Amino acid sequence: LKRSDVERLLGGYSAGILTDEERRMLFEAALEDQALFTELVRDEPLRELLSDPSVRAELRSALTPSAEVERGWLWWRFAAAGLLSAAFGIALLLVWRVQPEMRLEMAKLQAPAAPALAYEQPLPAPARSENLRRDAPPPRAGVAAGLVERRRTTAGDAAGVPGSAAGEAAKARPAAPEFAFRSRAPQAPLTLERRPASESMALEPPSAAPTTSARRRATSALVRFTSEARARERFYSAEESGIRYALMLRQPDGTFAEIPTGSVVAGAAEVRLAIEPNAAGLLRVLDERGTVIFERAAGARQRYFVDMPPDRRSLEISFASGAAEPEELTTEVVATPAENAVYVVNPGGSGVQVVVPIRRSPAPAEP
Amino acid sequence: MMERERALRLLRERIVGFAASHLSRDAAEDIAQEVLVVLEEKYAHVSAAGELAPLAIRIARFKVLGVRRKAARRGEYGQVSVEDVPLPDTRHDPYAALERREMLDRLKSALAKTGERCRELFRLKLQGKTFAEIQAAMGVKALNTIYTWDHRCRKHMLELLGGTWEGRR
Repeated sequence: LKRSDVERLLGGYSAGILTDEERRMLFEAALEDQALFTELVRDEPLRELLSDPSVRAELRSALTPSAEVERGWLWWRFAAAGLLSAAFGIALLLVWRVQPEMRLEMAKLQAPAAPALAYEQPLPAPARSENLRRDAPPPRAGVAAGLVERRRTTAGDAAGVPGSAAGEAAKARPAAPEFAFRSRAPQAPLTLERRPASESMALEPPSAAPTTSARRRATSALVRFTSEARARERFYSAEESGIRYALMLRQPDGTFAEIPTGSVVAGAAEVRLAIEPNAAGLLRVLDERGTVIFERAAGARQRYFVDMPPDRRSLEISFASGAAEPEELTTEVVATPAENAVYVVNPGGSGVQVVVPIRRSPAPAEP
Repeated sequence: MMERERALRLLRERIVGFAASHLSRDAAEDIAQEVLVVLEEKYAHVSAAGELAPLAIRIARFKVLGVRRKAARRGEYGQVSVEDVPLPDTRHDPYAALERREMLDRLKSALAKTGERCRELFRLKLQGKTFAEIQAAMGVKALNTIYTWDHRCRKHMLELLGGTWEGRR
């Protein structure tokens, strides 16, 4: 301890804890230093007070937290931790309930990958063995698993739809046409021959998602629902204007059934577009040349059918809720794996525009 | 013997310096003289400066207090009614006890306002631990750190108490 630092011993003097050496240093210094001496005299009352054992005991007890206080603090700490945990849990629950989308799998629907989820299950083995001409990797099932909800319509229904030019032609079509579709799997094309009516469609796993302008432009906004019920709930809540659309393929019995939107159909197959807005508004369908082939003041939750001209490769659906013009493709696409339809809603917008491609393959040559 | 004479000479200077800040110069000189007389008569066997100094401090403080009380009784600091002047009581002094209690309460109040480290230091000091033992108890590497902490703690407490341990008189 330096001479100049001896004053730091003052606190030890009043408490009576200085060693002989420290004490000697302090008082030697105090004899030479008036300020230090004065400080020592100022501390004398404290030294006197602390020299009383009862006072020391009282101060010690005041400075020593009692066991009860310790227990109290411990309890408060546990309580605080519990409260924090509970608050965190409640906050999580609130977020969970307020934003149901958080429960949904958020995924960017990259074109090749997304619709493939609907084709994960293989076809039943007997059906493949009967119909496959040659060995091929198990085609991905789509028809049986995918067509969960078929809306069966008759050719007459289709003919009644305004603008349905193909409807009349459908009446004249043979009752049990043969369909031959080919898989687009690179090394294993899949060709089906005379098959029962129930298996008359073999849809290739679409290598590309239903290419819509909305998807191209707003890929990052796509939300894929893992729950079909959740998708429907959101769509039919009608808080966001939108449409449900699906491709329908004429079946051998003359009815139409929904197929996945990325499917490749035979060149001559009759395809129909089913559109259902969730709100009243103006519904239009335009071909790729911009010609309006269907236009109607649509009612909410009414389903409309538009026969697709065989020479068209895509149709554009334009729906404007109320009297507003459709939004410029700021849409969110909601797809469900268990259903062949696509739900398109526009959060905060007044309408949607979607381009639906039709993929037709040339009819296979008869063996 | 030389050490005692030197110590007494220095003590006289320090006592005069201290007392003069509270009393007149003459009174301070008188007090210093009285302290030296006591040291000469009662503590002639003490020669070390480290022992003489605390003795001188205690005696000087009592002398200063005595002079101030006497001056108060004489009315030097203001006129006081004769009935208000307490008679000397050789038994237990309730006034001193009250002063002591007040000082203790002030000290506890100040300690409650200090930081955790200061209170812990004070607690260990009250247990009678030396600075070296406090250093070990607090797990501090250098003894100087403990000196510094204690010095800051004392300074902070004095600030909290208005600059004096006894309170304003």
